[in-house]
Amino acid sequence: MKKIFALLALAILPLSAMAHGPSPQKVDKSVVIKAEPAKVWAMVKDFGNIHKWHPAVASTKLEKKGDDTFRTLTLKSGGTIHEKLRSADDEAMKLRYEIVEGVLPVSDYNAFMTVKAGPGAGETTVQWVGRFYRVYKLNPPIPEGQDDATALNAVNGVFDAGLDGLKKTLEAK
Amino acid sequence: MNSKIFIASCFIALLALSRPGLANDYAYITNQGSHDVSVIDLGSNQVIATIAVGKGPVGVAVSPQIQRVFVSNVESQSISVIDSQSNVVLDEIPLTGSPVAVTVSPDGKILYVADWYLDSVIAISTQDFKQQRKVSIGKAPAGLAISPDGKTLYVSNRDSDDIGVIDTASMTVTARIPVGAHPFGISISPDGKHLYAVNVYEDSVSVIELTSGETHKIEVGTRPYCATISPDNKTAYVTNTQDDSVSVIDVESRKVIATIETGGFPEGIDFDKVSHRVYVASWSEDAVSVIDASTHKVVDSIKTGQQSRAFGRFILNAQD
Repeated sequence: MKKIFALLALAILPLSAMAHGPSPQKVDKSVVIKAEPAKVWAMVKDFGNIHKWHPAVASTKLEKKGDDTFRTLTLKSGGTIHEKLRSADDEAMKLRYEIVEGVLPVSDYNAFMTVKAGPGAGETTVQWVGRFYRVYKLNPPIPEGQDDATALNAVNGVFDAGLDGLKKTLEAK
Repeated sequence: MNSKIFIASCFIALLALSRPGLANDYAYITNQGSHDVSVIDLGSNQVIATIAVGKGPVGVAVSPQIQRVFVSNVESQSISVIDSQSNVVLDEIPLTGSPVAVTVSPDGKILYVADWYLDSVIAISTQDFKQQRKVSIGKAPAGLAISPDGKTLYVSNRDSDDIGVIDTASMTVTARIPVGAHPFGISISPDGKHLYAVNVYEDSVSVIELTSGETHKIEVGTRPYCATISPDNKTAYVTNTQDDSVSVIDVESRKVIATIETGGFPEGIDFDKVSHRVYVASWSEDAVSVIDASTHKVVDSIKTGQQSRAFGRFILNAQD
């Protein structure tokens, strides 16, 4: 009887607003590039030159503030994204950065890129993982364009286009 | 009496005292992305079962007393109730808000749920889920910890930057203790003397002396999330989600004595007193990192489900 009651209550739930605080969203993408790892890492870690391989970025401005490194991306579609370099580890070939502010419909965004040899000889795998929340951090109703789906779509688009561009740029050389 | 028969009957008595079907120790890891729970046998460090639960499971609480595991499903607004002997979901408790942390009273009689939509804490009878009591608390209550005597419940109010103190008998708020910015995971020492509150936006942990109310802050890594304390009360461990590491804190000197690299975005953390190992859920690697508490080295990595979080006390020991 308790189970039936629980099932009945659950059946009614979809009618009410989906109420929950935001959950962290994840985008995890990889690409295999026919190039040596050292060459791939040199391009990935070059924080001030992402426009050389990301097709959506028109230009990059690198800035140092004390010990911290920042870059401002100007997008081809207009708008900018201001990012902070968290670390660039040559040994692990891992770059970490975060968005300070910008036009992407996300909040608390941080990401890393890793470069690893393989799977085949002369091949390199680049992984790009982002963790972020939607823009609207309070409970429903969620304004249009500030929900989880919008945030996920945007980051998926950035990663897909970027990894594709990175592969094309490196393999063309 | 024949000594051999005496020894044999002692042995049988001992066997009868141990609980049936609970010969081992297990970790219950919630996987927010695959909507399930990975059950790890801590003897072999192997996943022995994967249990489908509600949508977006995050919080977890184990109760050896009633052999139950409670899991909060953030997206389906419910609690899944798992029988830890059979690893079968027995029930799903529907809630009107959105549950995050869950914890169980030491006697197993009451389940506490932090609801960050309704800004309240709900007490649910584990014998009859319809028997519920509720208390309003600060903004976005996130983490929960209960005193060893079960009389006091602590809740981190993420958006009020304080800890709510609840008297469990009356279900009333008796105090609010200010901590750092955006407190999330909280943990109480086994002796009940200290409460650790992790300040996510401040890269620190607040230590509250529960007898005097005195608080201290200790700097840890970037965007820390959860804490656990060793059974001897001497060492605390804090996950740093954006440094992929765990800070090891000496409780007496309040100093970070080691920083251990773990799997990416470490979140939930718990201490297994049997193996003397610390288990850490890695959100970005879909895995659990295993740390040897004596050497501060990662000794194993166990593949779990997607986006493992394990927010709460997730280790169930057979001898508890």
